[in-house]
Amino acid sequence: MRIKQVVITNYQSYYGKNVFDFVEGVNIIHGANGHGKTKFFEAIEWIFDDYESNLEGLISQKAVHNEIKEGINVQVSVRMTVSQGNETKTIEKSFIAHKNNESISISRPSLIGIREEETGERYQVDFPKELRSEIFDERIRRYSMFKGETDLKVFESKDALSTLIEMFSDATYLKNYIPKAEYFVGRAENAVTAAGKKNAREEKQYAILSEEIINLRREISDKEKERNQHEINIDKIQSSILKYENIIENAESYQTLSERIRIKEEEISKLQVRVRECENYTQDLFDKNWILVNYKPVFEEYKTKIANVSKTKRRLENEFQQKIGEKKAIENLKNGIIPLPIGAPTRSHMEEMIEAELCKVCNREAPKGSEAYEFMNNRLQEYIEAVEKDMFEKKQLFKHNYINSLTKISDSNDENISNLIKMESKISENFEFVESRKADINKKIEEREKDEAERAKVIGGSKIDVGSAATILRDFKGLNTNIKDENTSLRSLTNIINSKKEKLADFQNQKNNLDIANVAGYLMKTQELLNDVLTITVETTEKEFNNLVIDLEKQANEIFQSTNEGAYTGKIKLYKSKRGNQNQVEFKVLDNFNNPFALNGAQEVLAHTSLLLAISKMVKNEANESYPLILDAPLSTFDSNKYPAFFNSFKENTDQCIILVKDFIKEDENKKISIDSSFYQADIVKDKSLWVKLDENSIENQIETTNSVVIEL
Amino acid sequence: MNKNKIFKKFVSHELIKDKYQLEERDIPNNVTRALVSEIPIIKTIAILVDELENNQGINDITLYNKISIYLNKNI
Repeated sequence: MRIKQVVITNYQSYYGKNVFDFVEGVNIIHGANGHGKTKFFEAIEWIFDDYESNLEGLISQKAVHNEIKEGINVQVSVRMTVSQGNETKTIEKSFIAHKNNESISISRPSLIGIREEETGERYQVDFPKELRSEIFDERIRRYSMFKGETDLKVFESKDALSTLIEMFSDATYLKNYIPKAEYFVGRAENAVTAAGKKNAREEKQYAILSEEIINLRREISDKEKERNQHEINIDKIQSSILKYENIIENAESYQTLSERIRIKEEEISKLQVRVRECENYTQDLFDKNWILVNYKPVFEEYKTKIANVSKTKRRLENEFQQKIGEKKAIENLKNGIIPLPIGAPTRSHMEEMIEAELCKVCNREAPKGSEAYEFMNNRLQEYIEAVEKDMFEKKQLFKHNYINSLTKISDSNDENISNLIKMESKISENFEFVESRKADINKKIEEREKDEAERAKVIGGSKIDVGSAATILRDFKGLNTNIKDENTSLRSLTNIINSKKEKLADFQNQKNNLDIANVAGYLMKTQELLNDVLTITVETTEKEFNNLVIDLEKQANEIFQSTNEGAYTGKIKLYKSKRGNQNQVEFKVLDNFNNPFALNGAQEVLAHTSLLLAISKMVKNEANESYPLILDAPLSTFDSNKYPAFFNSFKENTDQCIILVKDFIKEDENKKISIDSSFYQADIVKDKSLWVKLDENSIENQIETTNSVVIEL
Repeated sequence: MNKNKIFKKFVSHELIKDKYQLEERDIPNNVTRALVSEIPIIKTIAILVDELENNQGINDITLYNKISIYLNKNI
């Protein structure tokens, strides 16, 4: 079966009619998160789903807003056209929605099936559900459509794989021969029993043996049923233990990741505060000071002028004071006084000499009343007068001190200019600082998002409830005790069954010996031959199943190795076991020493995908028909270097697949999205690529504007 | 499933060669030829397959009677 076309109309985010045409081989649908990728997957699921709930939620909100609310009837439909054998088959599911007062009325969904024969004759079928099953049987679809990576682990259930193998293996058909052969053996045994001509003693012994054999067979059958129940219990408990182990492990991971996220958030918040402060400071510099940058030459000119004026003033003042000094010196010379330099000796030295009546300049005594004493006294008076006169009557050339004020302004502008020069580099530094911190923030956000994704995976995988960790632990201990009890019961029952079987074989031998002696040879031979026919039917059926398991394992390993070229990833092992009459197949990945091999996320997906592809090949071989594989977002744990191997494995092992990916989409600084050029590299195999994206009129958080459109790349 | 394919799967069982000492040339490769075989195990399997594949509704008693009559006479 090949999907040729899917048409989605007014379904969820798809407003109006949206046509997806597919080809044989690898079809890739790109789509960013929230742009309609999963809605496409769900639309296909909806065609096959008979359980109808919340139909109103399926209507495109844009259609509700633009049409239904305006009184226009809207048809919501999903149509899938496939080619199968020599026919083209179409299945369409739809309903009509229309306004009814203020609410929306919805018709019952209808299913239409159209068959187009090779001759071109085209007609609507009477039983569309039958056509739908013919197109994509539920049992096959279950193993052909996978949403997310967790879905791919479907074969972790022992029954899932055996059910699928039985569906396609000849074993299921051959199994029908076993009850017939069992019936023949029973009839042959009865014939032998009835035909025996024995003496009285043998007759009694024969009757006892026959009764014992019947009883033992019944008891063995009962005990085997009981054992089967214990095996089922053990399986259930084991799966619960695994789930709990996962939860316990996940609870720890959850806490660790939560703590990491909290620390990252704190760091981000601190960095954001620093960025804000720096941006405010920069803005302040711009708002209040940047305008002054243009005045720098004006300040400099002013400074030069003031410096010149101040210099001139000081020169003039100096000349003026020199003239006054010269005049005074001439007056002193006229009075015969040889002036000492001002301050030599000082006032305190002169007072000290007068008090000591001794001239310490010429080192002569100057007693009170002497000429020398009077001289010193006069000099002191003269000094005091000169100083006081200087202080109170000093003549100034400039009456006011305006130039000093101007100089002070000039000096303060020196600081301004220096600040202006620094401001440019300061702003530049601030920009660099902000950019660098923003880069740090983005890095931290990326790290946080990674941890959040990891945490989401932990939660998503196990439905963890961290709050009830104590209960989990208690239940976990309880389960471990239960499994011990169940295993003890199982061992004891197995021993009982084996011992009963030995007893049965012994009675059977004794009875056979009596039969050989008393029954006609041909009846014994018939019984023996029919016993062999039973063995042949049972063992041939088993062998058929086993061969398929072996073949599947081989195929899966070949695909697994090719997708992991150059890396050791262990080997896929399919273990066949029996529970009662039911076959079970367990999927494991083991190392060379048969220990479980620890796979990383991507390897685990590849292991499951390899098995899936091997099954797809098996279905093609056994049912002589292949079915498309549809996978939604299977690559979230993948490094981009794994993409080529992944897509190639699908190309080589399936006839058609549709893979929905969010990868290869890039967003530019204006939030415009496009397909990354790396997608077009030669080693990524694709036969057709489509892109689903919200159109340019879709506004975030306004669901009534949302419209996903499909673009062929 | 094709009846010859089923027949061949059954007669490929090791019991046929090991216990009944049959060579490859003794084993017919289709049901029609096996139905005229003189080897009881081969013919019994051939009757079983032929009857079940030609007439899915055949009851167990009728089928057993047919096989046991053949075996009781020819074994």
